[in-house]
Amino acid sequence: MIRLLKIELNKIIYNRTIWIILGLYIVLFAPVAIGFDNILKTFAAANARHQQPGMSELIQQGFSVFNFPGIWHNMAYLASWFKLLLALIIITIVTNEYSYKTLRQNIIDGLSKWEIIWAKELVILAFSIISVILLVILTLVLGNSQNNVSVFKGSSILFVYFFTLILYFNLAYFLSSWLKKSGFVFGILILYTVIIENVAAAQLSANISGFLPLHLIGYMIPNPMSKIVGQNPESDFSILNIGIGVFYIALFIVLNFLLLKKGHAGKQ
Amino acid sequence: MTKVLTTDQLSKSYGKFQVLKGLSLEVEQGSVFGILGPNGSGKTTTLGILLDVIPQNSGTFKWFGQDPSNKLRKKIGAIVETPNFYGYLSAERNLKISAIIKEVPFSDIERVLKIVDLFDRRKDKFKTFSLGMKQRLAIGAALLGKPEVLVLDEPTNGLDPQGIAEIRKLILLVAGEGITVLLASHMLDEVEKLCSHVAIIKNGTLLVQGKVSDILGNEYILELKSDNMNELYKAIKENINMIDVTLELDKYVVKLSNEVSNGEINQYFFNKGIVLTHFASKKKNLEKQFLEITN
Repeated sequence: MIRLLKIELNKIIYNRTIWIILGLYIVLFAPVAIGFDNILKTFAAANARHQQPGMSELIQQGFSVFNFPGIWHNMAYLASWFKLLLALIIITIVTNEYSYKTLRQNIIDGLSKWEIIWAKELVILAFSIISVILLVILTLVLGNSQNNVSVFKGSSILFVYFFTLILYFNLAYFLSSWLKKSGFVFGILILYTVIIENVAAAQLSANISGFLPLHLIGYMIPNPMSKIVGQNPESDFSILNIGIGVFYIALFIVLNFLLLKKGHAGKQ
Repeated sequence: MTKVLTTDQLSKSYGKFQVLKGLSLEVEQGSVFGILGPNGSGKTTTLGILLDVIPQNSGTFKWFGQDPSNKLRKKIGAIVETPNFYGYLSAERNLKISAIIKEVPFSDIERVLKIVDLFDRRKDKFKTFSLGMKQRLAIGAALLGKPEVLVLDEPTNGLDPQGIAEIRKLILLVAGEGITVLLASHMLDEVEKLCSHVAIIKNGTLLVQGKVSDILGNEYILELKSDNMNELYKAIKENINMIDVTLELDKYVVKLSNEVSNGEINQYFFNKGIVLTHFASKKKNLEKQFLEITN
């Protein structure tokens, strides 16, 4: 495992593109997180007339997205929007191996097919941990502590957030090793996120559409404000949902293995 | 002789197109083994299969008498098709990755960089290298950890004459250290200059394999004609140096086992009482022979 991590670190550390995307992720996410409360309140004030009564009342009662314990969920939900940028890093790392033909060379040099996959899973793990750490730092810095409430109450959603990242990045990994070209993969991932899954969901009954990967993530980290529009704002991290999430992760890993086994690395 | 590699009836198709048709090879330890064939004959596919990046449809192969595995691949230094490295990394950092994969200490990197004469350029990014330097770095990477076998795929393809000379010198240097070399090439003179053994393949089929000197060695040919062709035929058959005879039009074409002077040949027939009305001796050139085998 340490050997695989060393291999991947040596590829990543000197790759400027990855640092640029990671920088972009922090530069875009942090200011939005810092301004999260103001943005929301400005938006609420501007739309006060059309607003359902719930929001303004809440604000008058001293509501802030930065109040513990709600901040953990609020920030996790916000962070969830930015995971596409981290997925772009995964896409870059995986498709590089095809464009440089180094996937093939790594196998020739002596990596087994499973080692190839576990090495990339370690990368996925590493970027998921980085994202969670950033989330924890921002939350602790921005959070308004409340009397009688431990700052860590509600922080268990971090595990849910972590799990959804692993799932999402494995989707990105599979698309990358299947389609090989980074721009194409990124386009397909966006298309899938915005259109394909929603179209598919529209064809299915509500019970089943909730099991589609991105819908599943949506149920695990729902919009915490959705109570205002009458939806369930509670994170649904049930055994069933975890099981389906694990099933998808395992499926993507097995598909990646089958691609390698079929000689995907050897083709032009 | 120990066999470094044996393949048994390797076959591979892409859709309806059959690239390899039951290829069986044997590579002896310490040999420089050339896989010679025109472009599209299945050389790269063969190497891809042997290095586990292309799955075969049928057939088996063994490295060092064992079934293939990633552990065995660490004992093989190989380049298939092109030098494959991370363009944004320096030569040295690229080799670090290869070294970790092969579980070779970083101290070996300096050694191989010096062998391939890239030590002074070790800090430069791979993408700034010329094709010749890229190819040399690839050979350097393949030499990490002193492999028992070096596998090279068209190592001089696309290089200028100086680059070709450098790579060939390097291969002979490696072979001189007792490392078995498996070399795919479409260039006859390359195989003739570098290899001790050769397998000639065409359309995925093995045409012939053996020692280069046996298969591509120089051939001495005589063309003979006499008024008494029957007596001439008998005399040819009785001569131990004349190993093969065919009648072409009105004259016999005779293959000699080794070079015999024209005087000796004349003397031989004269002693038998045969007068030659036509006598020509020629050396058959390699090119012609290669074309003969592959056509």
